[in-house]
Amino acid sequence: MKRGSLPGPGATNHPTMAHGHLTTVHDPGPVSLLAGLKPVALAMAGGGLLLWLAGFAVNDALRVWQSLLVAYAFFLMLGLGGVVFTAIQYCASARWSIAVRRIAEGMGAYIPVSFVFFVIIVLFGWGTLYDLESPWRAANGKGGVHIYDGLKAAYLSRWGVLIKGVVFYAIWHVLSQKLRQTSIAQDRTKEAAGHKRNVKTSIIFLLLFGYTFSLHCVDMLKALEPKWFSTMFGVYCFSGLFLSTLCTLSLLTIALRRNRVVAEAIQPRHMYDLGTWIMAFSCFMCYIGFSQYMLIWYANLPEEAFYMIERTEGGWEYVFALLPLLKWVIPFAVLMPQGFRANVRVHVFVCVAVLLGQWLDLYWMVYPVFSPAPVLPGLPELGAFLALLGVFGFVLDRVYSSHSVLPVGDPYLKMSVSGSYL
Amino acid sequence: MARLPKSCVIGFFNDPDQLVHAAGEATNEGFRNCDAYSPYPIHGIEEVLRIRRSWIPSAALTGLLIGACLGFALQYWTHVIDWPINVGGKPLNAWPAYVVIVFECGVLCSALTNFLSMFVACRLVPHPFPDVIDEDLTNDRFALVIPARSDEDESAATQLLKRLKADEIRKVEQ
Repeated sequence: MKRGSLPGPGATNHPTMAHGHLTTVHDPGPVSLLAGLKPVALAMAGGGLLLWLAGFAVNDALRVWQSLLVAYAFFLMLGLGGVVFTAIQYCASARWSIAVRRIAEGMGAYIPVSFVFFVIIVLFGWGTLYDLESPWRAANGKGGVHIYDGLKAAYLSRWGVLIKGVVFYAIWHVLSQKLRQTSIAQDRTKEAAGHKRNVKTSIIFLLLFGYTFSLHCVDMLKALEPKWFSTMFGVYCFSGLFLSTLCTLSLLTIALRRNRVVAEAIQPRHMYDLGTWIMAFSCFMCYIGFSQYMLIWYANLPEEAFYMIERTEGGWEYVFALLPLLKWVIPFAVLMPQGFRANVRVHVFVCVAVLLGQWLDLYWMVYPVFSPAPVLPGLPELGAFLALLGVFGFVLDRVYSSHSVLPVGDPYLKMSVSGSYL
Repeated sequence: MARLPKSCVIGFFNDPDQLVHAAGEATNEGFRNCDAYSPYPIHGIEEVLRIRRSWIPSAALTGLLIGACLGFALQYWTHVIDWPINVGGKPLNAWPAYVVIVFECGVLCSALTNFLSMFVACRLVPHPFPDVIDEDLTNDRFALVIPARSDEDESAATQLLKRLKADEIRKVEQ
């Protein structure tokens, strides 16, 4: 299916809206994401929390904290990713995406909530996950080694990570709020200048995000293996962030398109473009993942290679093999036919596969530190994931219910909806 | 620009919307294998003309697979069969190191297949010069080509183009 179409008898069955046919965009107003499912989300959050807490009694404390760390990183990346997507669209003067921009913007509202989980992990899970003298490290032959001192020790200490985290979260929160508030204020004022101000904010955000996100990933994920070196780690995490964000954006868009007015503005053409992005960034993810693996494999330096050896032996190789399958082969092959890229069912299938792959990716980063053989995901993992999923859904429901889910004041919204940018 | 049919009627228009409208009318009237000429791509004209999906993507995919296999075969043969050397204790068939070259060979073959099959698809082989219908077609004119096998076809096509207010109507017999 070709993007956009012109009026003409041959195009009557075409799912995309014709050029210039739509001159007015209706304001759908606030739309509830969960609608009747709100209690389900709350139950999921509560039940998940209980399941997770039960882990302390049933399982090892280590496993419980690992499960929270994986879920924390998964959802933080989605919250941040929404803002990154928005900022990139502003910087690139993209017109196609304005119809879905409000949905991506809203994901940023999860950032302050994520801060709570960050503080919990650093304050209470530190001794278990990151302490070099912990019994779990000793049991796995990784304890008692003084691998850093002086500045590096302070940098990766509990307080060092906490202070950095506060600064990073402040930057993310302030700038994402600025982007959102300007856009929301535009709904009333309709002033075009807001768009320009947001372009500036986006540039600042993207510049700072590159550094802060990489450093935060080092603090939270890479610090689990403080002896490991990889210059690809930041961009590896970023590629996961962006791919999983696009998939979440697509799922949220599908959910919100159940509203008739929203579906009038966000058309199959937008789903098609989202599908194209998912396909493109699945290639990026695969490229970055392979680059990291291949260079480490090729150079075979002990300070780099041990990380990959741990993660490709003792059963972890099966998890490792699933990553390119879920994050590249499935999105790339399934979204290849043009006709599939606007198909809702195909989107749901691909997005769920990719998000599963993203979870597995984080699980594959975190768990092998302490376990030479895979720990089958069980109740703590399910609990932590459900708890954060429930919270994430609840936060987004509140956001989308508090203002219009289309940026109705944006001067270019009509362009995005009518497809006249084509 | 593909080769023109043996005999056809060409209608010229000054506006892309007129062209799209005319293309739709002609297709609906039952004229088959109509073609449109325009200085720039017009989105959606393929659907209006009911042009089937080209076979070029399949050819490109075949080229890709063949190229990738050849790229792998070349490396396997040089590293494992013809001149085995132990490099850094790695296995002879060290496939991760081959991936980039396999990828590049695949892309190269795919692009060449794509490029060459385009000439075949546009019937520009063995004579690679397209018929120049009108020089303004590269600038500000649009043309609809309706193939006409018989005299009835020709008069019907001319009638249709007249009704659609074509700027100029030209008959071509080769």
